[in-house]
Amino acid sequence: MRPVTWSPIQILDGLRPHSRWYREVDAYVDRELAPRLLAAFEMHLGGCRRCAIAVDERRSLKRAVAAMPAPVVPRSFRLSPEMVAIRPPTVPDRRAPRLALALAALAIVGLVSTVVVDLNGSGHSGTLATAPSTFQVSTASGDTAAGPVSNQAAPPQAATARAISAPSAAIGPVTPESAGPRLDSGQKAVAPPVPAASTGDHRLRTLEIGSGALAVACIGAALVIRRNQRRRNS
Amino acid sequence: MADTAEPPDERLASEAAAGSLDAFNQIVDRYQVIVFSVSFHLLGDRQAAEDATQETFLSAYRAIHGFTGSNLRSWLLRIAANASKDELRRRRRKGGAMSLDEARGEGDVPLDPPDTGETPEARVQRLALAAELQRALDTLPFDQRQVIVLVDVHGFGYEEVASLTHTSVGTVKSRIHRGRERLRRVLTATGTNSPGAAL
Repeated sequence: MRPVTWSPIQILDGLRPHSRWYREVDAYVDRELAPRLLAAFEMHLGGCRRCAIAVDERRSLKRAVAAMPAPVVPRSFRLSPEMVAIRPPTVPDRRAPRLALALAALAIVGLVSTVVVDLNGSGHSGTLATAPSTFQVSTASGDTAAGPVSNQAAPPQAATARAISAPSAAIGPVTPESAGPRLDSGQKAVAPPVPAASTGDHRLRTLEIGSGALAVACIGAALVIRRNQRRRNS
Repeated sequence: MADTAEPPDERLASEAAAGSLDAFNQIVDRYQVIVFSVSFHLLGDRQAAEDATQETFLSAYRAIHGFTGSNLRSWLLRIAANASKDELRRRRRKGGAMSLDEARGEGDVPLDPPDTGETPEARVQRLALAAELQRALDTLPFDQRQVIVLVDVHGFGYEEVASLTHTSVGTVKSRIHRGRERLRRVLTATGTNSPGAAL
């Protein structure tokens, strides 16, 4: 029987193999080298003593590792009904609190962006310029109402025409022409379009509140999950 | 004529998944040698390997209903590698690296029976080299040690190791190259050089 040996001396004698091919030595020794490289590698080996020595050395190392004695199984690892009946300690699922925290982070980012948009938007008239800044309607009684009227007709005390300017829009004095089409007396008042400034603000507020609430809820959920996991395991 | 063929892995796995402990114990009988051997070479300690092997089969029993693949051996060895990693971590956490010397003696580790064609001198030489090799293996990072044990000790191909370790063949190739290179350096530094070495 051939003795299992290993000797590293050759490579250390200053005979460094070619680095280009040295990377392939192990795959070659394990017969795992891709076919396209195999022929080229063997051709190189034919003329390169240094790489041939590296291959021999690797082969002897592999042989030595393979010849390590296999340990004898000390006992049977068969499972008994008692062993499988024992419940394993619960491994805390770290994904749930992490997911909750990630959601919270996302909600906070949403909240911050909404606030930034809100702050920028309040000093910017771009979106408001297209919205009717002033409008008038005539009530059935002939009175003229102006302002952001809801679906109901203007109340009598607001029946006098008034002009409402959008918060930051530079609008000149209200003229009948600029106030939009006027309804004739007797026509039913039609609700004007709700100003964009108002709906935009409302949406931003809703988003801010929603994001804030979601962030708080997620952080709370993460804390509760972690606390429960600790309690279970203690 | 009675059918003496052993039931295939898939059948045993499905019976075990249905709750048959007997079927699962047949799987244990079939694979406990390789699972213990891989755990032993990964951990370098008999007691730790025993614990990891038992844990492997317990985990496998609990997860057998989720086994959908066709290669039960790879599946078990993947669990064994994870159990060994956990065991290693647990022992390190408990304080003190595992004493290599206490595990390496022949008195502690029941080794395979001597080859009848091997002279006592050759056996001593082989065991001495094996002890050095195991010591050197223990110095490797776990990932490199794992591929070397699977490829060199157990004869796995790169592709099976890649599927077992959830990596690519390229990663296996790179780990085995770096692992053997490191092993070579460690053995060289410790002066392990078999007398009468002949390549």
